[in-house]
Amino acid sequence: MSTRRLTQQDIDPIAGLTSATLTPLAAVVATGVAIALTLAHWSEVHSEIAAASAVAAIALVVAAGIAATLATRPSRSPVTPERFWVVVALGVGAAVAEYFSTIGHDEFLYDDFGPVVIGILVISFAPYCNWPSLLTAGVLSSAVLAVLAVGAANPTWENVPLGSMIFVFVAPTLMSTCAAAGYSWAIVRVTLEWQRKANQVVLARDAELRAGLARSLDHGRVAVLRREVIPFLAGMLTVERVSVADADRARLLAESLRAALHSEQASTWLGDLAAELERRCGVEVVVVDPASAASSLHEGQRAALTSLMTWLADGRASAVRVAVSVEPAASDHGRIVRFEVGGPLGEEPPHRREVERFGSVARAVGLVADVGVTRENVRVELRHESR
Amino acid sequence: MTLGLPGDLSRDSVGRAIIHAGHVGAWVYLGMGALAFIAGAVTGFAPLWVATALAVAMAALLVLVSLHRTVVTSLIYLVLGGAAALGMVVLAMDPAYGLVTTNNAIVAIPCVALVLVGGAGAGSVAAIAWVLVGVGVGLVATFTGAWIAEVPFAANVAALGMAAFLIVVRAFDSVTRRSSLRRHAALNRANVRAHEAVARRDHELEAITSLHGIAMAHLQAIAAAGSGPMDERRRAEIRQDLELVIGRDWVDAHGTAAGAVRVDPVATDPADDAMRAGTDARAARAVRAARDARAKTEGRDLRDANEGTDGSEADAAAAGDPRDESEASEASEASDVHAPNDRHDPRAARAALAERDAAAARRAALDAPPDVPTLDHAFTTAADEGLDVQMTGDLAVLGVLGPERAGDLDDAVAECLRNVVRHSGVREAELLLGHGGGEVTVAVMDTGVGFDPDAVAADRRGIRVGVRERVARHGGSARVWSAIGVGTTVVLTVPEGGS
Repeated sequence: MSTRRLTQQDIDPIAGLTSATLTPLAAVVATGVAIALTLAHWSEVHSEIAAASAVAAIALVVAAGIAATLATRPSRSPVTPERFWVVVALGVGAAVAEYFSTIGHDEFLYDDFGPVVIGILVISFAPYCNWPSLLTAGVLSSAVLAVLAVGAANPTWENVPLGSMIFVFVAPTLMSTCAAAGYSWAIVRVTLEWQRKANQVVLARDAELRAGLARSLDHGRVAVLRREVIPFLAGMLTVERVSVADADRARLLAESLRAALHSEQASTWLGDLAAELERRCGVEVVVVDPASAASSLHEGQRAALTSLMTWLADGRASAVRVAVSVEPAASDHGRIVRFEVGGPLGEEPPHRREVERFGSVARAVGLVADVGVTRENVRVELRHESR
Repeated sequence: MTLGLPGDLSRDSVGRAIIHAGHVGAWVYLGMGALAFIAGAVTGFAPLWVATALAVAMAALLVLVSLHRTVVTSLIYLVLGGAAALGMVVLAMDPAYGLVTTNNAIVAIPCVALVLVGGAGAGSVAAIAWVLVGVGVGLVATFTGAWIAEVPFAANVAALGMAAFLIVVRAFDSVTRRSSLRRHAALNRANVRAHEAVARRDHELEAITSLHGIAMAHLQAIAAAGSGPMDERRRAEIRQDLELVIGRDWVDAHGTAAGAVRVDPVATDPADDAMRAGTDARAARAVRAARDARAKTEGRDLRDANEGTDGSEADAAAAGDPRDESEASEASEASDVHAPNDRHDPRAARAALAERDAAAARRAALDAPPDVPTLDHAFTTAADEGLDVQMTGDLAVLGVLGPERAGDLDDAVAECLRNVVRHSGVREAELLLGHGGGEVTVAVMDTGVGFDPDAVAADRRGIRVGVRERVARHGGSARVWSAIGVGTTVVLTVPEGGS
């Protein structure tokens, strides 16, 4: 994907979730600005139809604010471009309605809220849209506003050049949308730069870990087996006769080796993680994954699941159980992998709100999440469709 | 790495991006203002050419701030920009344009641009302070301009509104971001941890598959043939496979050495490596001693290997070598850590864990013969600092090092662990010990906050004196990888032997 198409939420979903709290704020500010400026220029509203149009303008701003808030709710992540354009359309609609409310009587373009409200709404979408989209929205909105500025020309402005009026009128919208585009461009650039560095370190760490494991020759059951098998075979190089004890030992080692291979093939990274958590946190962590479906998760999803398990094992649950199940998908082309993570509450029982955050994180990385917290248990169900 | 910027970096980066956005907005606003002035100038208002020049000058000054965002450039912009704003206010308030007060769209242009200065500093407090200074300069310029033009002064609502909006956004962002910092850090740590789990799984599966491929046919053939003369063809095949996997030298050492007898089934890699490399007698003695120390745990090893297999296998393995009393005592000690009381208190469990690891390491050290070096200093440091250290590898690999070299390596590892406690923000670290290619390697890994090597020299974090110099003294090296939010990895390598 070209970096021009990237948004902050694409490469930093957590920041997208954090930014979601700013959208309602922007909606409130936009509504406040619309009401305040409408009251300020109410003397320019000269008829009942104009008044209705002014009210409709405010209602459209409220609708745009609500749409923006709903569109960016973590439970509905990720934010799609369609939602952005709906909000922009509502904002432009509000500007048009405001234009009709003062048509022919607009003394000062300066006190019209349309350009400001569009700017505020577009800014609130900066974390969710790429910079070309934001810029396009700004240019298109400014074009509509420019037409309105021409149409709103008042006889009292005969001394003011039309061009000046247009530029001054659309300036707040264009400024805000360009600022939003500038934010989107800058944050994507900075994030990608960090990711490049972080990936280098993670790869180096990964390579070092793998090399270290290979060098240590002392990792896990296979190392123990290796320590038995290789010397045994080496011993066979020098013997003249194979004894009964040798044959028995060969049989035992072969059986152990086969059992270890079966066991390793059936287990996944999730089992290793559970063992590590159990060791580190001192709580029982059980993974039931008969189909080894944990391997279906991609990197970000693994991190989300790991984070949830770590958080629960760290005192929120007295025991953690992860049940992984697989069922056919409705599309017949894939399967739905379901992770039921939960356990009885621990010393520091979590609030539902805290657990919901993990659900939001999971949604940000492409998992469907359902959260449940009772007086005794906490449960998070994550699922996704895999091929 | 898809989960995005870690907490601290995210705060700084978002702050910088907001400032950049403000600069872009100011450029556009000044540009639109300049276009409006030009439109007026070409229709007969000649003084507006001056206003155009002033708007362009302000935009140019803001470029300076954007490129070098320091206190000095920010102040230069505010002072000279304030002067430009004053000029624009005086020009705009000419009675010819019919503007009644200074609260109008034209005066808003330079005033808003001053508010968007985005001066030096990345924190929200600094940003809000610069906004307030920008507002103040704008108000002073507007007031002075109104006084010169002899028109009523009115604070510019657009500039004040912009300032209020910025302050609210920065304050709100600061509060919400602070609460999410720990989540960010935890997610990035989880990401690295998941990576490690996958790496371990891959390695284990690869190793068992490889061992299965090499050994299974031979073991089955020997078991099936029963007692009797060793089949020479089978012997040749075993030799060929072992040479491929481990190396000709090792096989020669085990298979053709004069007077060679049955190789002890618990032979350990350090001993084998030392023989393969033909190291000095001292090292060989040390590693032989390590092998002897290992020999007593033979039965337990095989029993461990059979965990998870059917009962008959485990029983068969256990039957040959019952656990001695000291081992039973060790097992009892280890199980104490998982006593029910600890299970209900994770923090207490963690503390017990750190102590248990240290105790386990000490036991390992005690198990080793006296002339095999250990990482006693490192583990004592970890226990003193309350650091949970997970070790992978065998301490016996240190047997190929001379006492002084091993001691310095121990000190260097201790320093690395101390750095984890001081700087990483986490209480757990991973230790990987390995031996190969004539070198002993120890990797110390943490999944803490990390640091930016471009911004903070690794040498400043206790690495130079405490670590690099210690291993460099023996011809070794210390490599450091770190990134903010990912953690730090220090890999120490020293050659075998030494004083």
